[in-house]
Amino acid sequence: MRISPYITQIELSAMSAANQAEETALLQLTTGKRVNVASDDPSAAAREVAVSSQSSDCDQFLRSISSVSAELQTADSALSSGVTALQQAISLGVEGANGTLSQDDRNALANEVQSISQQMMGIANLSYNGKYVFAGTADSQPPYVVAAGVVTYQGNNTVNQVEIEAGQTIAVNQPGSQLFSAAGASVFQSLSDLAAALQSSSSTTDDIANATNEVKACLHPAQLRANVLRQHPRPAQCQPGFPQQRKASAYPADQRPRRRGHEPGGDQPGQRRGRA
Amino acid sequence: MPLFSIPLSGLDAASTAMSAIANNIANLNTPGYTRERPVLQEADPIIDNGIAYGTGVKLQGIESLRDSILELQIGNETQQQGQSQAYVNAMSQAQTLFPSDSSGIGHEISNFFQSLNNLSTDPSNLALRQSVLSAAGSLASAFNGTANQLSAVRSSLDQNVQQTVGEVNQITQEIAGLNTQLAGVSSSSPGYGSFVDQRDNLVQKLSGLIDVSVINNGTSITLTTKQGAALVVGNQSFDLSTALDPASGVQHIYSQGTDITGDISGGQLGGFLQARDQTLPAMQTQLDSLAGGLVQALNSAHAKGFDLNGNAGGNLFSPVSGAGAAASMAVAITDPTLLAASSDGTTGSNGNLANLSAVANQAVSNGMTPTGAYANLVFQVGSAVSDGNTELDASNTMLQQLQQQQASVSGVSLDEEASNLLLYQRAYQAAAQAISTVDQMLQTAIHMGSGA
Repeated sequence: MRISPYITQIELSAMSAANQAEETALLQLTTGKRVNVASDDPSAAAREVAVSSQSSDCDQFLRSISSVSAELQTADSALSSGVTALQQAISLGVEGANGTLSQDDRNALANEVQSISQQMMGIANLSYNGKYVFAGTADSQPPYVVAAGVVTYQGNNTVNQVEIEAGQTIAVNQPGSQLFSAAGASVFQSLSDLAAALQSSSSTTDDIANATNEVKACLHPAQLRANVLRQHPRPAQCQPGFPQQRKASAYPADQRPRRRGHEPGGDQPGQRRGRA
Repeated sequence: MPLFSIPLSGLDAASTAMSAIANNIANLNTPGYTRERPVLQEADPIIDNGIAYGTGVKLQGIESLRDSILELQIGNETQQQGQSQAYVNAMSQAQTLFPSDSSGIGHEISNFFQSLNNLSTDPSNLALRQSVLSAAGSLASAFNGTANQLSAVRSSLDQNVQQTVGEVNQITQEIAGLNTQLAGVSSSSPGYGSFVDQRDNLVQKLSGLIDVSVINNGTSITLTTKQGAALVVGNQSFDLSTALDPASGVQHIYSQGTDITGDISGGQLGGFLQARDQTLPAMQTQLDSLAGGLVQALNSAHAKGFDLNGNAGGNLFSPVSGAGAAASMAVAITDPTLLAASSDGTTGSNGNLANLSAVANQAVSNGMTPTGAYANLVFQVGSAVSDGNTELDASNTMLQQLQQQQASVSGVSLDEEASNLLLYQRAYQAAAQAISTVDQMLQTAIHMGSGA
């Protein structure tokens, strides 16, 4: 075979191939990405679509968590003070069941119980951001109204769910019907019964003790609810270790989801820190 | 008496050979030039008294050194290369319309679902409702933009097709002209080679544009497409024409009245047609199916709920389906209170947002979720480009090897020409010396009688 005079062409194409490789390497270096256009690695690009959607979903979940946690926190602290108030009513009832009290003393206790009932009404009709927290989804009007001494619930039983992780939702409200006026555990009824038992001169200590137990029964749902709210939602796939969290890893891992502030209970923040 | 004519023929042969060498050297860098060499033959001998005397050298002609099989292979590979190059160029344009990161349809789809999640935290908030509507608007315009740009890529390909057909016609006319000229020139005459070179060059150029079959019949060549539509026959060229095909809305190619659009598979034209008539329409269809499916799923989820006024939800997007769905996608409501977030008519309920969000995980197009269907489009356009690139690289390498082989047959090597130059220079000198020797002998003979 004769020596090809075409040799310069081959050198040229080798040089241009080298140039191209250099350009690709530089592009990868400056963008920090191996796949800059879909043709660099089509299946990786397709995965990137899914991953970048997941990653921005995470950001949204964290935003949602922080906005619902403010509302949950309000509800939670309201319920906590409600629980304290009910406990106070119970101790008033226990005190009233003591046979040595005079009717005047019992009347004084009854007044206190009535003021607790009003306090509970304030809690049950708590509004946050213009919405009544314990009205179910009929949250544009106060859930409890008093007409002729009778307390009526005019909210509904619907619970709103917010997705805080792919496929996982959290209840963001608790209807008053499950907290303050559950079947057999109506806060207002039991408090007014207790006050009536204390006021009535014919009530025996047993009557007062029974009325106190009625109030005790109401404590249960309210306390349970407060506990639920203390559980901290945090999307599992948004944890620092979740693979390919490109965006999330832009800031130090220890500052990430926790700082977005979803400590709805607001209690014992130090306890969480130990986990990070 | 051949005493003078023998060395004279040597002088002739050597000088003709020198001119061939000079021509080779002059065309060292001419693209498509095929090296030439003189073909020398012994002249017919004279027989006298049973003894044969040589009568010198005869110049048969000048031949071009070409390898027709290699030329054929190069032509085929050039078609393949032209096809891949055009296809890759076209699909690379389409590829930019389907980004995989934080822009484009995929991004807008997840933005929309995120805005729903955001609204679910406070379903009666008008600002959040408005942001859902704007996210829906961005989603619709992302679909509109991508669909329109995809059409724009297609129509620019359509223009490319027309231009290429024009180039094909020009080249076939030139080839027919060369066929005419070559018919009048003997294959041994000087200059024949350069006409053939020109014609080969044109055929190769043509191979880069369209698939060509070459039939060599002596001095003239016949060119047809692979499917047999005539391009050049003898001194006659057959122009291709284009006309708008009303059914597909693009230019179709006709050869003497017959639609040959579907037959063309090679060269630039083949690549343009593959992208224009196959890959891009398939992507358009998928994009439309995604848009139509998404709109339908979101509308039916929206209709299950109630708006802020307690009325049942209407259409969230104007209903679209089939061809053109992506290009005409639009949000149907502008009033944020009409967004049906509630599942029971109360303003505080966010129940229906869960129905709308669930569409993100529903099969809306060919059994795929919205994000999945978009990721599939990204994958398809990406692999179209990367497959095209692989083919292009392979053709480039193959073509380079073939051209190298061809160059080793037909290329001009300066070393070889230099040594040949010396060779014929010496031959010329020797022949001249022979003439002067004969001259001296004659002088001796003439002076013999004068009694010197």
